[in-house]
Amino acid sequence: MAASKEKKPKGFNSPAVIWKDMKRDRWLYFLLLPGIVFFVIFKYMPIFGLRIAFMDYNQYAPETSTWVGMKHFVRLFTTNSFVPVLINTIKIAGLKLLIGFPFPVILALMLNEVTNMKFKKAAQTFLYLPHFVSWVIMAGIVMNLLDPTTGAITQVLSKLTGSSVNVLTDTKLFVPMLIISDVYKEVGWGTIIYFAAISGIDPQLYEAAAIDGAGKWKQCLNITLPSIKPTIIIMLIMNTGNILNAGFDQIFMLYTPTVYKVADIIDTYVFRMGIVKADYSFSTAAGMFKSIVAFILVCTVNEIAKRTDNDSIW
Amino acid sequence: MAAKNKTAGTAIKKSTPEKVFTIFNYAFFTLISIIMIIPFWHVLMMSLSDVNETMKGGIFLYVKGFNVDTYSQVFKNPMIWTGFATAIGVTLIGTLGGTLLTAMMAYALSKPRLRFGKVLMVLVLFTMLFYGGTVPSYLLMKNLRLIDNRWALILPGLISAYNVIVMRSFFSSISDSFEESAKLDGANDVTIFFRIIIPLSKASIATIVLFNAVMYWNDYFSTVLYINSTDKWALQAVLRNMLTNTQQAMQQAGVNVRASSNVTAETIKAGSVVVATVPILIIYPFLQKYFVKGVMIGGVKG
Amino acid sequence: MKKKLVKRLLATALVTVMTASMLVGCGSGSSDGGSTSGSETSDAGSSDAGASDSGSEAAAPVSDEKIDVLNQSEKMTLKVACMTGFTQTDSQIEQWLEEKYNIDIEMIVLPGWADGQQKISLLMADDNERPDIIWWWSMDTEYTAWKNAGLLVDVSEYQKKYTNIVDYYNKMDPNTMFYTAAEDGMYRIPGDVAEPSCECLLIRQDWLDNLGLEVPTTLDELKEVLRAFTEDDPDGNGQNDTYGLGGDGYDFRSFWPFIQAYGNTHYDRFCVNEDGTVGYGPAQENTKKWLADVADLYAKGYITPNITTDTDRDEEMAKANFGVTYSWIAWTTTKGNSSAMNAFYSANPDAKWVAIDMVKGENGNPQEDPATSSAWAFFGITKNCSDPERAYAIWDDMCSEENYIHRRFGVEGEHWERDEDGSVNFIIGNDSDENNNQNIGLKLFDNLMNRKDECNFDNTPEMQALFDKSGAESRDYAASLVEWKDITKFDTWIDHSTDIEDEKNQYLWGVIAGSESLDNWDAYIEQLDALGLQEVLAQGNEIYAAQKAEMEEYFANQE
Repeated sequence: MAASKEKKPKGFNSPAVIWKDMKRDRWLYFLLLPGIVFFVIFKYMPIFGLRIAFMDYNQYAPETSTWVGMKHFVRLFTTNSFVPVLINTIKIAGLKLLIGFPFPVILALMLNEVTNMKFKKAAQTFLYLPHFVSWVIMAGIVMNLLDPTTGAITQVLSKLTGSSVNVLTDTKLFVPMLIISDVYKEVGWGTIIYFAAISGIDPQLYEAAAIDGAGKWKQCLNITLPSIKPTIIIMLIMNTGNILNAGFDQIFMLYTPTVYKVADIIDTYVFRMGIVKADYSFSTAAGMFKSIVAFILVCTVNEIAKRTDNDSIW
Repeated sequence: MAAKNKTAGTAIKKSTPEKVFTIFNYAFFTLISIIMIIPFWHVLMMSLSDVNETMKGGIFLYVKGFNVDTYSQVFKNPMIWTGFATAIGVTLIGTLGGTLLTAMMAYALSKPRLRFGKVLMVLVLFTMLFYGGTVPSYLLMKNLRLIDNRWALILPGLISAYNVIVMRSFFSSISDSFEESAKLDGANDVTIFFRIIIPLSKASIATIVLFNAVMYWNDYFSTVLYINSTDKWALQAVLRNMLTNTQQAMQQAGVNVRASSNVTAETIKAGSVVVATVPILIIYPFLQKYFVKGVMIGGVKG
Repeated sequence: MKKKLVKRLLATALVTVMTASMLVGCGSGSSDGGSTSGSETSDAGSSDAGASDSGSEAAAPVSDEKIDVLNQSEKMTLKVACMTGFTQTDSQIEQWLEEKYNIDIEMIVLPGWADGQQKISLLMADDNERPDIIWWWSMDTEYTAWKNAGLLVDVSEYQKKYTNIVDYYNKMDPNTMFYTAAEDGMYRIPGDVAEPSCECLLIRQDWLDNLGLEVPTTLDELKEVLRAFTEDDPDGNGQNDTYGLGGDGYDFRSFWPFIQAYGNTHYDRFCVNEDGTVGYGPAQENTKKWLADVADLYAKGYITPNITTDTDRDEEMAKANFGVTYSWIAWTTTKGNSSAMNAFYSANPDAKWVAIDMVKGENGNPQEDPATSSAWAFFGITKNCSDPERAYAIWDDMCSEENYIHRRFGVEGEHWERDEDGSVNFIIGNDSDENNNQNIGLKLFDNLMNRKDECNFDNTPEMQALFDKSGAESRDYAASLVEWKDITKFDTWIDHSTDIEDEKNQYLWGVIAGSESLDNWDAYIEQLDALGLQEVLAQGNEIYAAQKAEMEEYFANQE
């Protein structure tokens, strides 16, 4: 980061200089080595499997697999449902990002202002709990709360609107329900990173600010927020990578055909296709498509962040 | 941080809006805590309730017809105990080893002067977004002769791109002054990392420890992929499997069965969540102190 | 050796990194050239799975002499994959089998319904780990791939010599073995076949009595009962909290009485028309009729509102807020063998659910919902088995009446006993704690061949009678539905079924819930055609005709 800003000395990219720098940092490379070996073996070797997306792969007789080029991608892009499903995916994932992203930051900042340690610790613990309850269980709870006749939330809603609502089959309410339940489940878990970032802030900064007469609000705005800004930006960059991951488990547990129009996403659609015919190559192609989109997006956001703020992953 | 907040609080008299905010804040977090605890509370109460009551569904805010049949059923399964043993071993080794490797890698990558650092970052990030799939992962384990070996549960999860990136961002915020003064004393990067950086980074290490521990503890899918012998299954896989022989699970799979047991899929599900979650929740308080204490980075000013 | 492995790994990895960087360089990344470069290298590392000599086992000559499985000097190892039933190792029953046949049983327990199929695929793809006997459910395309790759052994010759299994299935339903067979042999064995019909119409007798109503015998009477159960306060609590029809949510089977009333329609299977052609059930004209009935009743509030969401049938039953349902025969007994009914009766001790005859509809032929003749679960012997004939012979012997009862229910006098009237009482039940604690092993290898004849002690005599009745009263309907022998041949259906079924589910459920209208029926049919239904039907008719001829030939050969 710093190096790119400075004007590079002459011969910066000459092999001799590079070698000299590498020799200087040999101990850093030593620290890096186990990680590199790990990534090569356990991450990059399986990534090779993506070639299956360009084959008619037969895992039971691999030698009979044939190269078919872009066939599976063409099939994915030309299925009747592809465009609506893609739009649903982006809509749901985008809303989850847009609405779900700021909440952990706000919660962390607010909880940071709680001075009673016991209260703070207890509140932190409770915030994380929903993260540990899987969607299978959570879906059961959601369905109970939203039961068209007996659900607690439904009853409140019908009192407010004056008419009975069935959120689970309502094409207007289903997606908001997905967003709210997702934010609810993951918001607490999302705060952990910000707590860690906040705890790394130099306390002397606050003391100095307090002496200067800055109130809590000012301290939060002028010290806490700028200090955790790099973390926020990095989390944002990484989260944009999820733009095509709209949450298979959640939707799969909650949706029915009546809401396919708004809630069917790439993952659920590919899953349903897999029920009739487990086509490994096709699902790999679908996964690869998602990865490529995510990669392009992450690179773009990273570039924007680098240009505007100098906080970026690379 | 407690001290910090006190000094900050006493140095300046609280203004009225701040007082209002404080009251609001406490009320807000009390409410949020109650809302957040409901699912887990519901599951806990349900797991202790009478099976006839749980059949009716609904939200369980209190125990209806107390009994511990679910737990006796869960704990009578001998696989539970081997599952616990495997899960604890895998989580311990994986978390410690993984966190160390992640930290080492992240520290080296956090140095802007490192040649090829950016390329490596891109390559690391690449693995976060691209995944080869289950069959290639299986073939890799097979070639490493790790099928039906517990190391297959540990090795693939040691380092994740996500954790490296998070940790690198934490390390980047540490002032260079420590490194510079240590270098003057003749220390090399490895010594600096272990002697200075690690002690300074307790909060970030605690974060990664938590992420890793939860990931390993909740991982059932590696068992599905790589383990064949039931005595090597991890706990989560055992618990998921317990559902298979219950009536509802069979019916969902399109099978008509008669089952005559005093537990149902619902209670087993609820009991499993409790059994599987409580141990991992216990580690949280041990890590929590690192989040709230903060570290004295300001010890040396850059 | 180890060094070599590491070297190979590193070399492969370097290529990968390069490929990956190329992908990055390309931007879009989906260029094929970038990915092909490394393929051979990594294949070298992968298995040599898959036999090149496909089907060689089938050709192997089988002598006429039978293997005497009880007197074998050589110990044989049998690795068996199974999922349901007893899963602890070294149980008493397992040891009994090991001694009896001089074998060593290794069980591979599959991880459960959600992930079981994935595990089965991996096991089958791995030459080293593949079990000798594999069990699976609904993996038709994979089964065909295994067969084509030579991974499964043809047992047709063995079945001529060892006949317990085949005799049983032919006794129950001769069609079962026809649907199981492949063109060139028998590569799978039915593991479990559902009863011909597992469900019946249930009604709250106490509610009928409260309102002074008779048991409905026609569709119109049933509709009137549904109305009365909703509006006339059948439980007499003064509150409007009851419904007519209830049951499994998001499951068309809940509406079976209306579906069967018209005939020549189905919620997802293909129907045989009077002229012998094949039609898609949900697109048949009569579908409109039952759909209109159900949508009307739902709009009037006679059906539980949450039936359009994916609710659980047991949970709904326990809620006890409806008076008619189409559900499991097992729910008719009060013996306390179903958790749903236990919950129901504990809260409503005076209530009474009774099974009634199916109501007569427009077509005048009341029918129950038929199950398929084909098995839902299969098992097969893989090429990894050292002696497939002996393995088959052992399994066939294990499935004789006497041995089956021992494996499933244990020893008479120790684990079960007969009453004076001949019905069976369990001393130690299948699902009891004792079975687990003492590691007895009752229900070992469940679904690796289950008998549903008199060896099935699970059914009480009354229940068995209901099963028989329901089964008999579903045969006409079964005859009007198509059962595909080999779905993998039906490739237009495989290609289009996801889209067609999505459209079907959206429309049908939309009509029921009131968000879609029956007026749009023609648009719905047009949409199905646009999704390829006509193409599917063209091929379906062809395959059906061929299958019919094949069936005649098969039974001619059986004579």
